Amino acid sequence: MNDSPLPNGLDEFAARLRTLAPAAVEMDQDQIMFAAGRASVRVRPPKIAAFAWAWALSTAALLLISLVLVWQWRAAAAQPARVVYVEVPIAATLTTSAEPQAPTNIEPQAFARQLSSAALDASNYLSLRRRVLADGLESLTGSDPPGADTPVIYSAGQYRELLNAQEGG
Amino acid sequence: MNKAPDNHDESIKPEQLRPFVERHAAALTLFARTWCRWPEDVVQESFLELARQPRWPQCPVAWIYRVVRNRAISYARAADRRLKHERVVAGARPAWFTVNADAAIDAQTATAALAELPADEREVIVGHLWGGLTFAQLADVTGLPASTAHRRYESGLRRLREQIGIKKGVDTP
Repeated sequence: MNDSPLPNGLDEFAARLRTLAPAAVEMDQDQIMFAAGRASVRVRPPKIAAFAWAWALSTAALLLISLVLVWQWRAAAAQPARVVYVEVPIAATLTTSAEPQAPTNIEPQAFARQLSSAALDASNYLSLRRRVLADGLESLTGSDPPGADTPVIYSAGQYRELLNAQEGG
Repeated sequence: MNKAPDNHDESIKPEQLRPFVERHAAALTLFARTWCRWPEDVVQESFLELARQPRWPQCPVAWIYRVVRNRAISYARAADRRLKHERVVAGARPAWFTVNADAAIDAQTATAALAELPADEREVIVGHLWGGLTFAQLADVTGLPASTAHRRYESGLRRLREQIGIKKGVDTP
């Protein structure tokens, strides 16, 4: 098709046009040659190219795992904290508190410890004093709540003796 | 130089690229100038893209013309958006051809007439006359059948001759 003649003298006109020379161009040929030089010495080891997909795959997998973990963490953080109340069985408490206390001679240090846990909670000194005088030191190690203002209960014989003493005195 | 200098499987050496650039730079610039106002930039970037190729394309001339064409059209679209306010400046058209007393046609007249042509005819004329592309290569560049490229070349030449004012067998005015 290149050599097919054109009708009506168009070939002659095309030949005239071809006498025109395109305007000279200002280009940085050095930059082009530099790029060509760099491209010509570029080393592309085939092994690296063959395993290039493995890097991309592992990176994508790590990114996916990271996103899932972040999503889970954010979902967990978005839930409000739950407060769970656990009831202590009453029977267990009673069993431990109902164990008989062995009446022993109490050392001062042990007494102080027991006193600190039980008696010192009581603010009423007088009721504590009365209780110790009435029932002895062993009464403080029991399970009775300290500080209770317990009345002194006399037996019938003791009450009669008290009345006789008052009448005699 | 329609074929790769030695072997198209080889990388592009600077000593092979230099004559290629010198041979085609001016015609490529004229080819790009028909679309945009910065043809030197377009051609420079296209040569740089060729230089970065791992090996010579199968047909380097068609390849570089296709790259220049795509880039020039992109530049023209961007420039249309960016420089609509410079329409007045656009009237000052730079010379597309060197002024030569031996030329059969006046350079300014040819530039003005060529600029008036439809773009599809102009690219075929410039590519064939000054780029040395065959119609098969032009078909590759433009994406048209070779017969269509030839038809456009013929109709473009006829229109150009009318605009320049050359009658059959009559010398230039």
